[in-house]
Amino acid sequence: MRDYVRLSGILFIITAVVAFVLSIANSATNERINSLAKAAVKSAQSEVLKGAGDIELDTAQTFEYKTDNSSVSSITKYQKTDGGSLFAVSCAPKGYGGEISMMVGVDDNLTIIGINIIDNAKETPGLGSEIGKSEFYNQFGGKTPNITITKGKPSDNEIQAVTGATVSSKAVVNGVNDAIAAVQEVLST
Amino acid sequence: MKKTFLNGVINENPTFVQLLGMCPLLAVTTSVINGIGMGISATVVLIFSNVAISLIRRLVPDKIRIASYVVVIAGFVTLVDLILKAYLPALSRSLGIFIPLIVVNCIILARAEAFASKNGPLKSALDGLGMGLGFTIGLFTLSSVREIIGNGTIFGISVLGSNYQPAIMAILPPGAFILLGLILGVINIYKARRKGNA
Repeated sequence: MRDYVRLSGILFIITAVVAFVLSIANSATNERINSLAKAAVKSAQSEVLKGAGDIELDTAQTFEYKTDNSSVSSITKYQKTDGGSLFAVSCAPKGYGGEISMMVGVDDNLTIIGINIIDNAKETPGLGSEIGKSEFYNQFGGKTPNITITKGKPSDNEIQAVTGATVSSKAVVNGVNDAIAAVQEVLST
Repeated sequence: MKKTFLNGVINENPTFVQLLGMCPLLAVTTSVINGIGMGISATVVLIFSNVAISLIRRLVPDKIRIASYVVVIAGFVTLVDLILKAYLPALSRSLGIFIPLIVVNCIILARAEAFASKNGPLKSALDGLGMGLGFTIGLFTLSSVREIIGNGTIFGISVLGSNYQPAIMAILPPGAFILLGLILGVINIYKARRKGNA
């Protein structure tokens, strides 16, 4: 009996010391980790809204967006200096290996301004991960609702899939379509 | 001293001789940067956990030693994870789940049990450094072969020219197994030859 108390006591002390050290480390790095994540989101947003006119950065309004069947997680609305508004939509459609984190820029006519792939690390390297190259995602600029995907030469409102990575390419297209639908919903309310 | 250090790098190299830590070895070696990042992270954890375990080796009763080691190792892994997230976010993202999984990396637990629990802190640190370096060499070797064949680059810099059609197979999971097998084969041929001559 005494042995049990002694053993668990020692293990408890070790665990407590480790937990204490980690709590210090956590409070020391927490702020930096959060601000890095925020900065990454900010730069991704301004990246996908580039070229659609000047925006007033401090008008940013972020809405959480939670609906079944949509990969969109949040929408940030910016006022343009010359009236009108632009939307930066965060979404994470399901790809081949997991969720693809991406940002979609949409204007108030529901036209795509630009998109950016933030995290494609779960896609197959060399195949699916190619969606992270600008040759692929730059195709989206100027597209309008109901984008479709093709393996051959893309015509109007079509995106050419990455060779050998139909699933990942399709996921990105789904994400963009979800983003447009979400913006449409926000605009109509 | 020197023997303790070189033991991990050559004689008992965790990757090529002991075949430990295969899971991270096969999974993260899709690029040299990932391989080296993983190697250094594991080495740091290995050195610190070896020293800590060596220091508490007389205080920890035999019956709960494994549990205590895992707590200590998990502590250091979490520290490394937090530091990577705060200061090297890109590397942290591409290594993903494999950093937290260093906790169950068998090299680290094996060294805690086989070495640090029986030796002083200085020797344990050296053992950790040697084993960590050995593991890093393994990761570096496999990841550079995979990146060159599978992507035509090393450290992201093109080495085989733009005409080279990358054999994507090499950076996919099956390529990891095949290339590791080939590397081990070459090492064994070399060893067998040396034995034959001696």
